[in-house]
Parts: sequence; structure tokens; C-alpha cells
Amino acid sequence: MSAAAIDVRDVSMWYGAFQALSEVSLSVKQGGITALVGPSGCGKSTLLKCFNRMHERAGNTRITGRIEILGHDVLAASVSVHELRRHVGLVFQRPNPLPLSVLENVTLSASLFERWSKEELHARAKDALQRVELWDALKDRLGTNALSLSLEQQQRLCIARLLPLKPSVLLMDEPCSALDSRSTQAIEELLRSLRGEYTSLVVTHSMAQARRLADDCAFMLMGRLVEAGPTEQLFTSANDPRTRDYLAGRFG
Amino acid sequence: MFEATEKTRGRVGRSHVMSLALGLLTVLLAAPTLIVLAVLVYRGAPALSLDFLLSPPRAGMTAGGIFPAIVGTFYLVGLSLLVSVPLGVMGAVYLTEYARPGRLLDFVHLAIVNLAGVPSIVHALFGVGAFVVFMRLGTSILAASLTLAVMNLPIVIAATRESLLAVPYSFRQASWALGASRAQTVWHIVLPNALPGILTGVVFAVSRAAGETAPILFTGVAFYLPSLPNNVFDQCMALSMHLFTITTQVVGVPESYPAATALVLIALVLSANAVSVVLRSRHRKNRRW
Repeated sequence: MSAAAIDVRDVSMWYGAFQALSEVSLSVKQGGITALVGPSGCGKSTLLKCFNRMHERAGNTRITGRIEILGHDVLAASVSVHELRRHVGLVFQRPNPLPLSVLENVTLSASLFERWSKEELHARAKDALQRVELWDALKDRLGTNALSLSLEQQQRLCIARLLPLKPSVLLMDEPCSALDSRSTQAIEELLRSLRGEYTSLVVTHSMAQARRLADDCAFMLMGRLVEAGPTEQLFTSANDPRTRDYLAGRFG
Repeated sequence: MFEATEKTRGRVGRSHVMSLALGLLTVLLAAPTLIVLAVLVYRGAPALSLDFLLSPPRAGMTAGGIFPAIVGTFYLVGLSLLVSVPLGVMGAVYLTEYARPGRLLDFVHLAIVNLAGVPSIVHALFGVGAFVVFMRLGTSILAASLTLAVMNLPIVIAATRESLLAVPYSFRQASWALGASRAQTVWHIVLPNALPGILTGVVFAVSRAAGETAPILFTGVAFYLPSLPNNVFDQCMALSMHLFTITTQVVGVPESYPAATALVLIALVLSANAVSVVLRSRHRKNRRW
């Protein structure tokens, strides 16, 4: 449980001439929830997207350093981004289910990679929907358009659709920022219940959420990683004064 | 204190006048369509019959029907769509989903926009040069259809591009994040959602292919043919061309014939329109963005 799931060594990243990350090094424990906190524009979302190489879609990016996930270099030229994303799932800030039925949303990912029998796909979808506690609410309307669900259900669905691929890492980019407090609580509970099975990395604006949710925390500022460690330790006795000031709400 | 004053009444009154005037003008917009249809129905009705639709012209085109012209128009429209729709859609997909922004892309765009602005008679000359002479297709259904296809290409590309761009970027992101390739994303997510817009473009292309006379004049359509075409290397007749012929080139055509021919042409185009409206509304039912 304590082996590193993600190991980041001296990663720097540029969008064109703008340097978004500077020599970031970080080790993420397997099976835990790690929160990335920091003010807007500090590079936490960028770092997250590097883990499944979604940053490349921005075009004109350059990255140096080394990112290992489960011991494999994900920046290597031989890596297929499609296979990588199958193992490293991403949940977006705004729930973005595809304009398909609930069932199709959950089965799409698996059917992109292999041909499955209808029964097999359905069974996988059922597993995934049960895992995020949507099955009971939606089992009779699997054919409805996913965009007609509530925002919370949509975000649950966005997590569920990653699960049939049996990913090892779940990346979440402020997964609750579009939700109200009750839904936020529900999603947090869901994330806690996934702990152990999946290594989760959660980018969040909310220090309270980081403290409630995360086993470990990493604080970033202006493209640099300032400090990382167990959440309680970081919140109560951070080494760096900037970390202390930010987590105490003195700036941000 | 809340009662209307003179000034308020004046303002409200002017507003009523304004909305009435605008409403009237809007109704007037529909007038040309309705008047054209009414005149055609009134003047063409005497000639319309099953026999008119299903028999060839007789007696130097002063009697008989328009069957070969209907068949020819179907050939031309169908064959030109077969070329312009796949090419146009694939081109637009490449331009929006694959191509990197840059000088080359800008240049291609400029070329397409300009192609859309080229008058149809110029397309006709291009068709003669490229298809009839250079590719040695002769004046044939194939050459005429290809000319129409070139003419319609920019329409299909523009309509497809616009509807592809209207599909939210977040759908693509979601699909890529699941490990889908560009092609899978286009095929499963982007194209199905862009379909209504693409259909609109296709229907416009149908209208133009069916209605334009110039591009087919020199490339494959004859004034009069005694028999139906056997294959795409034959010439054919076409409704638009036939309408021109019997209106201006032949003496002694009954007055109702041109109107009836025009009516058939319009009916064909409108029914293509209707099909697309039905398809689009069916599609829209499932859409929530």
C-alpha cells in the first residue's frame, strides 16, 4: 500500500514560451487520496493533465523530466496515449457526460478498446453504476439521455464510465466545483469509498475539502511544488511559511 | 401614483404601432414564396396528370410529358451527391478535427470560400475543360454530375464545418480522456451530433444540383432525347434545362407546360427539404445541449 503509484521527477512544462511547471518532484502513494492544492494558475491542473498526457491537446507544449506511473515512464515515445488513458482516468471540473444514453456512456470506454458481447458490456456497466451508487436510481432508465440527469448524477456517471476499463489511477480536476454542498459531500463519500482500490489525485480549490478528503496533500505555487506530505502534518506543522500562510487562508 | 400619464400612453402606443408594422413586414416575407407557388399551381394545373409525369415529350416537345427530364434530374442529383457529400464531409472533418492551424489551412479555407463564390457558368466551363475534354468523359451524365459536385463541394464543406464546430469541445475532451483516438471520437461522438447541420447543407446541395442549368448545359444534358440513358456515359435530359428549352426555344408549347414543369421541380426540391426536416426533428428529440 505504501509503494509509490506515481513518481514525478524534475518535471518542467511549457505552453509555448510560458513555463507552467518548474522542476516539480512528487511521489504519490498507491491506493490513497492525494490532494493538489494551490491558488488559481499555480499549475495543479496542468500537472494533473500531464499524468495522462491530456496536456498535449493544447498543442505546442514541451515537457522535460520523468513521470512514472506504476513504474512505467508515461512520457516515453513508445507509450500510446490511448492505452495510458485507459489506465489513468480523468474526471473533469464540469460534469461532461457524452450526449448518449446512461448505458452508452458507461459502456463506451470499454467498447473503444475491445469487442464485447452485449451481456458482458451490460454486466460491466452494472458493476460500475453500482460502484458509484447510481444503479438503484437509474436501472429502469438506462436509455435516458445522460445530459438530463442532475449534475451530481452526471459527475457520478463521469466517474462510473472510467471503471469498466479497470484503471489504476483516477485523476480529478476539481470534481466538485460545479456542485452544491450536499452533492459535494456525496461525491466526497464516493471518493472515500474508492480509496484502496484506486489511487486518486484530486485537484481542489477548497482547503477544507483537501483536509476532509485527502490522506496526503501537495501545495503548489507558481508552477512549483512547495511542499507535500500527510494532510494533517501539512495543515498543522508545515515547514514552509508559504504553505502555512496559504493553508491558513492568509492568501489565495 | 402608478396611473399611466400622457407620456406613458404615447410610448406604449408607439410600441404597438411598431410591432404591428414589423409583424406585417414579416408576413410579407412569406408572400413571394406563396405567390410563386400559387401562380404555378394555377397555371400549371391543367397540364398536370400522371401521363404528364410518366411519358416522354412528343411532337417536338409541344405535347407529351416530362418523364425523361425527371429521370435525368434524379441521375444528376444522386450522382453529384454521391461525390460531393463524402468528399465534402471528409474534407470538413479533416479541416476541423485534424489539420493544424497555420498558413496552409488559411489558404485552403480561402480557396473553399472563393470556390463558393464562383458563378455557376464558370463551373460549367471548368467542367467542360476538366471532365468533358481532359478526362475524356464526353458530354455525359458523369461529366455533368461531377461539375455539379464541384459546384456543391464548398456548400457541403461549409455546412459540415459549421456543424462540427458547434459540437461542444468538452465532448471531444471527454472522449479523448477515455482513451478514444481522434477517429473514434469523430465517428462516435462528433459526427452523430453534427448530423442535423450536415443534412441542412446536403439539402441545399440537392436544391442547387436540381435547379442549376448552366453547369449541365455544356457538360451532359441534351435538349431532347428520344430514349432514357442506359448508363452514366450517356447524355440525359433534366428538369431545369427542359424548363429553359420549352420556355424559350420551342414554339407552340402549351402555356401550362412550363408552369407544370416548374411545379414538379419545386415539388422534388421541397420533398428533399421535408425529409431532412423530419430527420432533424427526430434527431433533436435526443439532444439536450
